[in-house]
Amino acid sequence: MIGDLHILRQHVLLAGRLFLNYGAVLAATWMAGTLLATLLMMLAVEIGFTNRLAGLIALVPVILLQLVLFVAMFVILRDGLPVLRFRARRHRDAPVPEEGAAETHMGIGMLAAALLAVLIPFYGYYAGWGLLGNTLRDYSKTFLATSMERIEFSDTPTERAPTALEVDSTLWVVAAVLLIWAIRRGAKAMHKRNEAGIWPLLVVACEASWAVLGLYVISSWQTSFVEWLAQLPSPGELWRNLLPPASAEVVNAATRPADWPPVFQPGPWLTALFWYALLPLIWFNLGAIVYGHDLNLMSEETQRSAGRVLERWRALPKPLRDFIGHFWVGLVKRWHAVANGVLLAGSAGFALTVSVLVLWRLADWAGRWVWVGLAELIGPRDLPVWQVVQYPLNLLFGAPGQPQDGVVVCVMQFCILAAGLELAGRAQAATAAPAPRA
Amino acid sequence: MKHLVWIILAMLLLLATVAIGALTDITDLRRAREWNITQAGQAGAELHGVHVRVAQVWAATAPSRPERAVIVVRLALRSNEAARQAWIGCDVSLSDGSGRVWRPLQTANTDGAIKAISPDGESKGRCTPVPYNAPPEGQEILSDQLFLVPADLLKGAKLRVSALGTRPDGLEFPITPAVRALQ
Repeated sequence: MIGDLHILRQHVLLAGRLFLNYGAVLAATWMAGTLLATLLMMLAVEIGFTNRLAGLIALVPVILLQLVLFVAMFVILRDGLPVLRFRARRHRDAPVPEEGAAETHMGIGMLAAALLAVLIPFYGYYAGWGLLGNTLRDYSKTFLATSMERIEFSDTPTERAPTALEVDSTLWVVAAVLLIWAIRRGAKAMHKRNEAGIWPLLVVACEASWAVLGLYVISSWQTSFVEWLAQLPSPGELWRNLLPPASAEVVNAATRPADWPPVFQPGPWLTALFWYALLPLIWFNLGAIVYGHDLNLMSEETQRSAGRVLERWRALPKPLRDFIGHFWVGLVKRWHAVANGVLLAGSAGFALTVSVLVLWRLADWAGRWVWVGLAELIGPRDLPVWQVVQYPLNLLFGAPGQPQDGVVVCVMQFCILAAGLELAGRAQAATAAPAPRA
Repeated sequence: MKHLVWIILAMLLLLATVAIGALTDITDLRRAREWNITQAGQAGAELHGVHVRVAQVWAATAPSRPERAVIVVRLALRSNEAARQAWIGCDVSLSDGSGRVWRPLQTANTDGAIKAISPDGESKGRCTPVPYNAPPEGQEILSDQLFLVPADLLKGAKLRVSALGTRPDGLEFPITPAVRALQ
């Protein structure tokens, strides 16, 4: 219990120190990202006015920017984390004979490598949490608002113009995917030739656009599939057709007045709590992947057992090895980082995990109440005034009822996560240290 | 010092984001209020090419309700049609100088009340720069506004005139109505 409180105290102190030392830099970075995202969204809408599919593809930088921002926040914070910074440096200084060593150099190459590592899990989370849908919805909203601003009442077209997300046909999406594939191939070839850090970023951009297009196409197919499924009669309906109920159900409105609170149900309550607690843990794991991509966390034991597999692998004929290796290396490089990240997050321990979760949610909760408090302070004003005043409030503390993206709250949350990862790294180092002696 | 630079940079970026994101709302807010008020006298003043004059002001109180008063303001607009069209509407309000604002009444009884209070027994209708029965160019377009206000406004109030096409510019007239006591 005392140890748990000690961990909590350490976590709060470290997060506070990170906030004091790096808060301003992080806030400026976050605001720059927000500004750039606003501009890119406006650009995508402008492109969307001329061609709907091109507008959708122009949305890729907006989505990519969110990934870059996410990674950049963690990379900036790394300087304040002694254990993780030391490990990263040690790993970088060590001679790395494998291919891809160039990617672990400082600067833009390092950022690109971190981006590549976190790309798939991030977009998995991004799509799974409905944030991709959110971005598409924001695009739709901006598109509609802009077209309403430019509407010409005296000159209305006879045909209805397609809405923001109405793409002409799936064929064009396929064409776009092929074009992006060609760009990606070119970027890979260029990277092999001169090894500049910009080419991996272009590859990431191409893969992100694939993810967006793929998810968009799948979601549209899913909708039509669900629609097709919905018009079929349900099993219950079929059953009722065969065996109609004996008598009508008696509904008595007096048994439950409308203003009674619903009965407490532990099942749904626990489910809601689970999802509420899951989000900070997902972020924690994503952060661990960012730090894990160039950490040499492979333990002695794992290397020993992997060594046997490697010997057999080397015994294979070279053309076969090259053929499999070509596909395998890229995958392994990424999932190695993911595994490292999960290991790092997993070594946090129960107390630290709870601390991360509660502090992360506490920052969110406090931000929401600061919004409400400031709104009370500003007082009742008429609608045009509040339409303007809400903007800085939302940018600082997040819009009420929306996913949290307020700069103050997000910076605090990143500090909490990074502090948690640093403490997890320390715990990992502490358990690893006595092992060779034994 | 380094922190301060980053904080200033973050503030500047925040301001830029607000300016870009809230551009429409800022424009709306500019158009919603008379931010740039010009004081006008008895002779009236020009607002975006239209000459505005307060022709008459009457007020009335009833003995049963001494704390309230009704004020009727007769406005006169004069201009060529292009300038009047550019006004896009006409908004009139009374204020007491401490931030309280009253808008003219628009009810089924408004016309009758104006006819009862105005000495000539006429109602010229609400203020509009382009009425369907506009007089020939060069003549004034008259209109009547009825306000229900606290009686202390009879000592002195300010009348503001503006329109969607003129805001943030507006005119302000000091008014002191002649009071009639209704029986």
